[in-house]
Amino acid sequence: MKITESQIQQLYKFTALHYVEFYDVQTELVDHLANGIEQQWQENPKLKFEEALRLEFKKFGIFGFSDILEEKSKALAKHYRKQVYKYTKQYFKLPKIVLTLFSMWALFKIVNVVENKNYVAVPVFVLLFGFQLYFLVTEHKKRKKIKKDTGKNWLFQHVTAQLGGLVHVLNLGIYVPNIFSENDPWSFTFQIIFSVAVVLYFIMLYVAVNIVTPKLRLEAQKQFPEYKFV
Amino acid sequence: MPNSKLYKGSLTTIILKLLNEHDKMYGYEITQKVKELTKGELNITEGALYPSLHKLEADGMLDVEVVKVENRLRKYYKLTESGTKETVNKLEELQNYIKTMQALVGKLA
Repeated sequence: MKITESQIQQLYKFTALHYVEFYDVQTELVDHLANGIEQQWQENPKLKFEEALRLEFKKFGIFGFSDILEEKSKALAKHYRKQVYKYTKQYFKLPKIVLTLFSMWALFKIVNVVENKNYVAVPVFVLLFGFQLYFLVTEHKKRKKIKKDTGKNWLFQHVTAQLGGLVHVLNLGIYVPNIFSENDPWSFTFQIIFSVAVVLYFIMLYVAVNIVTPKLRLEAQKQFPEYKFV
Repeated sequence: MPNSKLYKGSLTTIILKLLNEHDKMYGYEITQKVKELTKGELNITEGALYPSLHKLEADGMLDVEVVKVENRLRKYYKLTESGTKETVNKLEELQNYIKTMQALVGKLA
């Protein structure tokens, strides 16, 4: 006996009821449950669908699908961060390192020359947060469009929205102005750290939004060609 | 069912080895294959299998292909180039571990 189309839809609803809202995760679980149920039917053809499903779900343990979803989200976020690291590293290799080092040096020179460091720090932070806001708003619009076009929630989108968890690190930048005070002179070392950190922050943000996020979207597109992500 | 904790550390190696011997496999197929090969001695739980598969996928060891089979979508896993290399390392590690344990248990027995 084989699972019917409407039972497949029931299985999708079942996974959603058990807190798996992402279609890319549901799909694998639905196939697993369906295979398990069909296997049970081979041994006992009279078994009801609901009962077979209950027995199959029991095999997932007391936490049901939640462990799988949590681990999958963690794995995907880690994959995202690793990609960001990989592509950020390229900015420290020839030829890109020339531009990276030049940007750091130029920023350092400006910081070094200007007496009131806030004249540099404030515009730099406004610029960086402006960029971050712009990137995130653009990204949010794309995500909304995909949700509208496909009618489904996707885990890869959830991960890219958080920039693989990097969004929390990047947000630490908000607190940076607190450590500056107009009266405190910036030491030479601090000026270097500031210049390096600002350029690095910008590169990571750029890489995350412009390279890694589209790459992840492309990977999802490869897996689910019937939907339009790209 | 034997002590599953003893097998836990070897789950990744088992998955890699199976995928090395088959072109591509899906989750349920892996659980059934392990059951068949071990004559029901080892039962990989769903809660352990999928996190391992997803971790291997995220680490670039596995490639994924989603195919429509009958009335549903099926997610197939296959080894990438680095996954194939990792299989060799993991198997070597496991074999060394087995040798060490045999030497140790042999002496204790």
